[in-house]
Parts: sequence; structure tokens; C-alpha cells
Amino acid sequence: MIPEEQLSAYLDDALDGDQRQAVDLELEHDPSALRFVLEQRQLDRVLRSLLGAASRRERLKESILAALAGATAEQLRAQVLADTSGALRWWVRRGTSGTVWVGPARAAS
Amino acid sequence: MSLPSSIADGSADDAQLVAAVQAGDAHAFGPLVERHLDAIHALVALRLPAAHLVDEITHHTFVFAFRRIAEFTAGTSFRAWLRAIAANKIRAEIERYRREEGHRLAYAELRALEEALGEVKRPDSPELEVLDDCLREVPSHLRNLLDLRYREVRSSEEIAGRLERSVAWVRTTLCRVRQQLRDCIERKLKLQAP
Repeated sequence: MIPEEQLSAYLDDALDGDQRQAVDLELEHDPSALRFVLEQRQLDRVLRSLLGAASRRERLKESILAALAGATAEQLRAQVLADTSGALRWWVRRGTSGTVWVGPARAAS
Repeated sequence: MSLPSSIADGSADDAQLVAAVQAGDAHAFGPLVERHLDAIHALVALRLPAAHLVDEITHHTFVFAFRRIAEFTAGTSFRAWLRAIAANKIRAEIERYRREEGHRLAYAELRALEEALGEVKRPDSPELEVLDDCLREVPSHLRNLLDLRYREVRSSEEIAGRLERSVAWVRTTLCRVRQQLRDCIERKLKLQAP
């Protein structure tokens, strides 16, 4: 059985490589500890989302609206009148430090 | 171009806003983002076991919805449509993540992805609906701990310093509070079950 303090440090990403690997190995053979870890991580993500909404909302809203701003009213109207899916591409450039949203841009023909 | 008064003053409902976007008024999409952003973000956080991708998938959900707004059927729920788009994005992201990163993931992370694939198409998220109630039941000193962690995004070390507790106490107490919230969610869902 994995001690509570070790498991909570694991969930907090506070263990070094060897310690982390040891917990990972134990989780393979301890279904209840695995269930605990999965549920803790899920709730952690949801609490980040719900309680951190105020600080995130404006930034995320701005990123969405900035992405949309590239589409003019004429382009939008054209999309509505005739489905032109594929005419615009939203490029995602993946880097080591995360994802940068770059778009919209005309798809290469 | 001036906005219709119902859009400018925030009184337009989803159907009116969608109709305005479909008619070419891109600005009408802003209030829709404002109205549904938190709910879709929470749904993505619940279903996607990759915390660093939650913002990105939420972003892509709204951009996709904007581009495909012509396909939205009048008279149906815009929130439900967004949820369906988000579910497709989440499933695609899980499959991509498993394919590209699978060999580097720990057992628990792989299991989380597998479980998430099974859950992603669920049309509802009753956990989120009862979580607010459960949060209100958290005693104030523990609610303060949650706020420091999630609202102020403080590290365990910073919280320990602020509360004059050990780092181990912060970590284990956060785990216990999350576990209590989980228990509360399950208890409330059982009570709601027919």
C-alpha cells in the first residue's frame, strides 16, 4: 500500500524520477490506489477550471475572438451560404513549451 | 456597423445571437463565448485527462463552432451543440495523444486515457451540476485552502508558508478535501438516481 504522504506528493508532481517511477510501478498492481489517483487528477482539473475561471476567462475569450477576427463578414457570409469547410485552416504549431495558436490562415491550395 | 440593441445590451438569447452570426454579424459570437465558455471549459476538464490541453481544446471548440455555425439547427440547444463539438475534439485529442505520447506515458496516465475514451460520448455531466453544491459545504478554512490552490494558483510551498503549515500537510489535506468532494458528488448523484 502506498503511504498517503507519498501519494499526495506524487499527485503534486513533487517526487524525483526514481520515486515517481516506484509509485508508477506500484499503481500497476494496486487498483484502489490507481482509482484514487485517477479521481484525484480529474477533480484537480475540474477545480482548476471552476475556481480559476475568473483569471482564465478573459485570456481564453480573447484568444478565441482574436482567432475569429481573421474571418471577415464576407467570408463568414460565404461560409453560411455555401459550406466551404476546408477553405480556412486553423494551424496549430506544437512546440516543446506547449501549443501556440496561430490562425486563421488560408489553406495551401 | 451598430449592433442590434438586444445584442448590445446583453438581452439577446442564444437563438437570436446564433441567427445574427449566421446572418454575418461575427460580433454576435462574443456574447455566446461569454455565456458558454465556463461550462464548456469545465466539461473539457472533466473528460480530458491532460490538464495542459484543456484551454486549447476549449479554444478549438469555439473556433470550430464559429466556422460551422451554418450547420447549427435553429430550435435546438446551442450549449448541447457545443458539448457535442467538444466531445469530438476531446476524443480526437485523446486518440492523438495516446498514439503520439503513449510510449512515454505512465500506466496511470494510459489508464486515464482509456477510461476517458469510454466516457467522452456521455451526453451529460451530472458531476459538474452537483459539484457547486458540494463546494458550498466545504468548511471555510478548507475552502481557503482550495482558493489558494485553484483561484490564486499557489504552489504547495507558497500555501504552506501562508498558512504556517508543513508542505506535507498542504498536500495531504488537498487530497483529503478532493476525496471529500468526490464522496459528496457520489452521494448527491445517488440521491438523484431514480
